[in-house]
Amino acid sequence: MRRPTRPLLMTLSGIGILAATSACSTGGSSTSTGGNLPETPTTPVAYADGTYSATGTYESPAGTESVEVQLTLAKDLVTAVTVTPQAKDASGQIYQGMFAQGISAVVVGKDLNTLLVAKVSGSSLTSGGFADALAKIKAAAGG
Amino acid sequence: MAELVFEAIGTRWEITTPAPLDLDVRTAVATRIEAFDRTYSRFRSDSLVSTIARAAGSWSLPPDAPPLLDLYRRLYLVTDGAVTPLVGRALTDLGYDPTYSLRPTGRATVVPAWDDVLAWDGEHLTTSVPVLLDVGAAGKGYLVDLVADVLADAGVADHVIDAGGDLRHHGADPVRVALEDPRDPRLAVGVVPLWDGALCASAPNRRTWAPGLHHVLDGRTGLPTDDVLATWAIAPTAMVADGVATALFFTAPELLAAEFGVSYVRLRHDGRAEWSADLPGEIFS
Repeated sequence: MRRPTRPLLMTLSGIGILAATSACSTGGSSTSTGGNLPETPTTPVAYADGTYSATGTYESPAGTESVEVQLTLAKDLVTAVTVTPQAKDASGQIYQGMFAQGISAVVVGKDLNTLLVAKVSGSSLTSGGFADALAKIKAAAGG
Repeated sequence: MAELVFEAIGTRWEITTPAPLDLDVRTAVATRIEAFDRTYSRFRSDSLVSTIARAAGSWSLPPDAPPLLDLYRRLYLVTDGAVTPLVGRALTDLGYDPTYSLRPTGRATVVPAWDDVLAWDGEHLTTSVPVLLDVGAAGKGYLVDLVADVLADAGVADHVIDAGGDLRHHGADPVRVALEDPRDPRLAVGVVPLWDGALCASAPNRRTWAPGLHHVLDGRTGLPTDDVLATWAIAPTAMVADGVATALFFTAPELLAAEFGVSYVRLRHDGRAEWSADLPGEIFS
């Protein structure tokens, strides 16, 4: 399995969410072994394969905190992401630990027709037998 | 691109390949599915599962059984018994039976504890009482893997197998997959790329036959769950993705991600989603 395979732009926006949710993002610095991460890519760019790491900083009540994000790129796709919390104070560690574990937010559905997808994953489509039985039950319940 | 579409094991299948599949490959796929169904279906009276349900005893299971039973055991332990193959009787009593009566019997069905009724030595399954097994949590995903093996053995390296929304992909380019919003199937809650791996979903919305009655049962209570609307898991195999998607209804996702190495999304009734930081793609928030 190759994973994750999200386009780079999406990943950068994901980091934006991460920084914005932890505190006001005030800047960042990046280093890389394979190239430089552009700060605000606006047009599709071909990136060199390699591992990129960036450290974002933000101001918290306890002072300047940072979070390190490392990406591995292959063929313009992100193939690995590591988020390493660097917070010094306790609440920062808790928040950054939550990012390392997972993300939580209210979701808003988008129209499938606008998404250009080849497949849809959801509850299993039902076969004729179950659908027929369900229709009969509903009819019986209604009348 | 060629697409083979058919119905099997109660859902719709689509197999996408660069060229149409030869007759012998299609036959091999159908034969594999039939053999699986004949072993594991609780919806047909001639299956091994139906035989096991009639009397206590010891059965030699087919060679495809160990990976499935081993996964079930891991799921059972990590979910503290919520995911179990022993929910068959409880599902039947709720109306999810071979005739799709969809009428609950009203019995309060106790789901037996694994070690009270089952012993599995890797080859033989021994039951101390008649038990109705249900492999609905991971069986379909496992069958997707087995069909992928059939295609690979036939030299069909590039393929997407879609069994009613449970997907396995192998090929040069990723496939973009929408995560269906269970509240409105015209919408998606996210999009993920799938590349050389599996993505499986679990959600009760298409198999709910009365308020609060659906097919995702908590083995600890014998009753349908009510907190989670839908789950998705991405794993190397569809069996693991399918099983973990079910487990996500009951168990902390971080625990499952650590145990099985999966990426996940979990959508709750209040409209909040939780997803792993390493999830490829995008959740619309």
